Amino acid sequence: METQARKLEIVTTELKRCDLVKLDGRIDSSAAPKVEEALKAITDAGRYRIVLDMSGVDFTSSAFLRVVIKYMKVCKRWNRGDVRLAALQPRIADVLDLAGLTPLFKIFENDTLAVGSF
Amino acid sequence: MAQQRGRWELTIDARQSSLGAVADFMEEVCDTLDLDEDTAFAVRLATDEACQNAAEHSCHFAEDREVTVSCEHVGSDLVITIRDRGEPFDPTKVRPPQLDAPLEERNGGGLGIHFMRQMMDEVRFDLTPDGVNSVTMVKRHVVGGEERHPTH
Repeated sequence: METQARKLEIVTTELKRCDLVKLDGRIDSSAAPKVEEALKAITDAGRYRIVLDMSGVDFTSSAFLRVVIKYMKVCKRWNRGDVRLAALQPRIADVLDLAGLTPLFKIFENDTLAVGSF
Repeated sequence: MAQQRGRWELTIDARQSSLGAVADFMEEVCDTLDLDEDTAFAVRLATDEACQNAAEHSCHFAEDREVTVSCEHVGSDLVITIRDRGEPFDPTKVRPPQLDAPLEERNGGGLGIHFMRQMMDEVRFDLTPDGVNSVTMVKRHVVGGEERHPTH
């Protein structure tokens, strides 16, 4: 196989219905805190409806899952929002399955469906 | 990274930000050994989790502590060893993850060791007499053919 180290890029777009966070690259354990910073910036601004576009993510570890669990709890408090996932690559979906998280997350085929779900 | 033929080693300080170097290192080892994509993903994930555990739970992310990753192929097996001189780590004290619990009861704890055991064929934790935590992980029958020339 050929791999090329792809550092994580994060682009947040504030939409009418929710915030769309496009994650692109590898979310190894050193990169998970960057995702946390991005989510914290959104919730600190009082917005709690978030879509993570995972189409460009080809690697993730449990450190990222802990961040998503934490912010899903923050957003769901008082029914004020949610963190929803879009466009998981098959291996990332397998990691979620292995962690027993698939039934807890709302997962959509693409970011348009995920944004429209709010 | 230090390399002898068929053996690669990387030492990082125990800061979380240094774990990206482990991810780069493992991508390069997997490329060099020409592992298939599923095997490479499994090996990279298990190593990331083991190093995160060592840096966080044994070394408390202290920059004056070190974590060393060694990869070696023994026949067709890939053997990965992670060592640190932090606090002694007892894996039996880590609670298994609550895979069926509702969201309110989840915090993602215990997933690292769970992933290591799921991804690798063998995972062994040792504490050496001179105080080194050592995690040995084996993936069997995955290395074949000629190695590629490493890029550096």
